Amino acid sequence: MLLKGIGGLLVISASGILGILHSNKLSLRYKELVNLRRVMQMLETEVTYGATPLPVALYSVSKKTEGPVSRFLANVSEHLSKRSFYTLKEAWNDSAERLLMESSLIKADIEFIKSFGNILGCSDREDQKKHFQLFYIQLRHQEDSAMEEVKRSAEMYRSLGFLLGMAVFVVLA
Amino acid sequence: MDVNLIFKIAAIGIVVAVLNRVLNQSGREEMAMMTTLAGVVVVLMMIINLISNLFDSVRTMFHL
Repeated sequence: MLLKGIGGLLVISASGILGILHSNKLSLRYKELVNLRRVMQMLETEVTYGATPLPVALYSVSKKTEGPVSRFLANVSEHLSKRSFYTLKEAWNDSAERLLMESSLIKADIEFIKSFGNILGCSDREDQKKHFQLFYIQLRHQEDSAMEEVKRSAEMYRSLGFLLGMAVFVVLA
Repeated sequence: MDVNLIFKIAAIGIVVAVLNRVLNQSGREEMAMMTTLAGVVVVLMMIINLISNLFDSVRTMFHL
């Protein structure tokens, strides 16, 4: 009887924690998108006003921020300094594949970031500024959709976790 | 055939009702419908033996 109770408690708490983790992943995605905007704004300042070369700019921005995006920029900067890749695009894409997969960003977000690497460092300061503005507008769309998904599904995943745990416990015991 | 079966069915009923409400509330109505159906199927599977026994005994009583 006691064993049944302990087992049930374990099942319900495991399933509940799974639900909470899933719910947190959604809200974490939104926070990381906001962080991405901040990091990109710092990068824009470095590139368009400071005219610093890309490896230095990326490195200094990554020093001033934290999070998966910051580590991503530090990685790109390192690749550029060591000349491990031929172009910025390749270094950018490689770092994006490896480092951003660990974060809570979804595939669409990562593809979006990778597409930005195509135009970074390829034109003059005014053009870069325009590309940055376009990036912000598209990023706003992603942020809005992430916020909407959080509002819609976060509470649901939490309740779902606990309820499914209880259902399994009741059926099996 | 013990009382625990009735408690189990009652608990499943409550869980399915709450699940239904939560899923309807967040807009996933087709998933709510599916969980309701799943709950009905699970309960049916739990009592199918007893129903079969019931029909057997009714049949034997009739033919007597």
